[in-house]
Amino acid sequence: MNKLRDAIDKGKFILTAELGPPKGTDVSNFMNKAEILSSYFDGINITDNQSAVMRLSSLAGCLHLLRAGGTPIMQVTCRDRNRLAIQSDLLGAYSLGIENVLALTGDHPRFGDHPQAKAVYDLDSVQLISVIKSLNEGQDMVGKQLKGATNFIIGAAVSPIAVPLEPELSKFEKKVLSGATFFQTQAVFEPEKMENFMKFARKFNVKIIAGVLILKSVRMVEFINANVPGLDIPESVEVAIRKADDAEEEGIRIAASLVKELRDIVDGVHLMAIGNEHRCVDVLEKAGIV
Amino acid sequence: MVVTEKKNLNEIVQILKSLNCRNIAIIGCGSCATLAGTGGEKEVEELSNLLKNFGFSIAFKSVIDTACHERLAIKSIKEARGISLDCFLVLSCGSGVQNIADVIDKPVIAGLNTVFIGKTKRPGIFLEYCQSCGDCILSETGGICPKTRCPKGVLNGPCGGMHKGKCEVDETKDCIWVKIHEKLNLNERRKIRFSNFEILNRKPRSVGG
Repeated sequence: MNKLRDAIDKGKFILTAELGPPKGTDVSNFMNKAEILSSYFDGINITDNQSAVMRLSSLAGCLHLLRAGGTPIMQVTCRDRNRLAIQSDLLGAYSLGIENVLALTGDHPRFGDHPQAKAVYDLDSVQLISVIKSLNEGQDMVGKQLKGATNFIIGAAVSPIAVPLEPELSKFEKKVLSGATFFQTQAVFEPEKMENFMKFARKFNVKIIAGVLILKSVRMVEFINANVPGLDIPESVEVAIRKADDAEEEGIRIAASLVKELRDIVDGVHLMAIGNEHRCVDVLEKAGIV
Repeated sequence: MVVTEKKNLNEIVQILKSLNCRNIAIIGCGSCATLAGTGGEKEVEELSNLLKNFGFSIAFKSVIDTACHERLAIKSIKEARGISLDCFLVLSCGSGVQNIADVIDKPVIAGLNTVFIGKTKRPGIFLEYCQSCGDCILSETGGICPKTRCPKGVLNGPCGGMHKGKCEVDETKDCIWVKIHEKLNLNERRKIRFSNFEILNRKPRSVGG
């Protein structure tokens, strides 16, 4: 059963979380986390060489997750594969029971552990969305008929607090028109900014799932501010983490209170714990969701 | 223009030696390579003097108006008839070098590296502006090419790495999609068309004939 489709169809508050595959073939830790998350979340994003760091593939990670009883959202970036490889992986994924995808452009290889890698970007995220839509309609991107179509739920990313915002909103609109039906946002820390974005997003019939980052240490805050493209942690949050006796607990508290506030604003939340996935459930409990 | 850079002198000397060349023709280009300061009269003269110091004999020198033009190249090289030459050292872009190679049966040596099609910001400062993709969308993107000037070449707006209007890959540079939006807003043409998939990925091609 596709829990994500169910949650979307029933208008439930959607809960998703992010899980990165291991760098290597030992999936035991990944499986432990996958099993915990599977019982609480409607979908679990399996990252695709996140931050351009080479890892076990998103497709294989999704299969492991399916075996653990979870509902995968396969992240697909345009960075590492051309249009042939992307389409054939998508067909393969669907044939193996993966029904949800998140279409992304992908961080540039310059930031990863293989900075000399060829940056492919044969397609961009908007084009990728329309390619997936055409696979859903039984055709590849050049119009050739498929023997068996896909039926993916197509997701995309948006940064509701991008500066400047207008080009981002224009791209958001293109993603909707190309076939994206749900959006997972870049991490938000200020619910009022999300409210502002929602005034625009509500014009479209799509689900908005707000990204919530679970911080665990001062080091993590510093690392993100220095290294993660397009993500800024506000000073007030940074100060709270610095001042806290237990930074990890403070991170949980901040995330839980965000989830609570966002509940009335958006259609769901997407928890990003970056290595600390076993605490995702604590955030939901503290926020009064489970 | 086609922007070129000078090859390292040692690299040129090594190639000349490996091919046992003694009597050398140096060919320059009066177009892009002259503007780039890599293959004009001045640079042909400079390289000629440098190579003489290495013991080579420069038996023929010519700057062709346009080194990538077949008829002009044939005309210029006719002047070298009767001169004993071991090779042609060409200071032009890759098209010029290949054009010379098409019209003579002597070894041709590239004296420059071809780097991109771009503009001269000021003498010595060049910016890549065109990838010659064969499907120009500049009329729709405010005269700014995202395929060339975005490190990811994305065609539908800024990627998620855009930060305060700057590029994910180089924070000192503006996000080109932000620039495109600013330019279009300035001209009150806010709607950017959806790109199709016809953008070519650099395949060799010819125009006409």
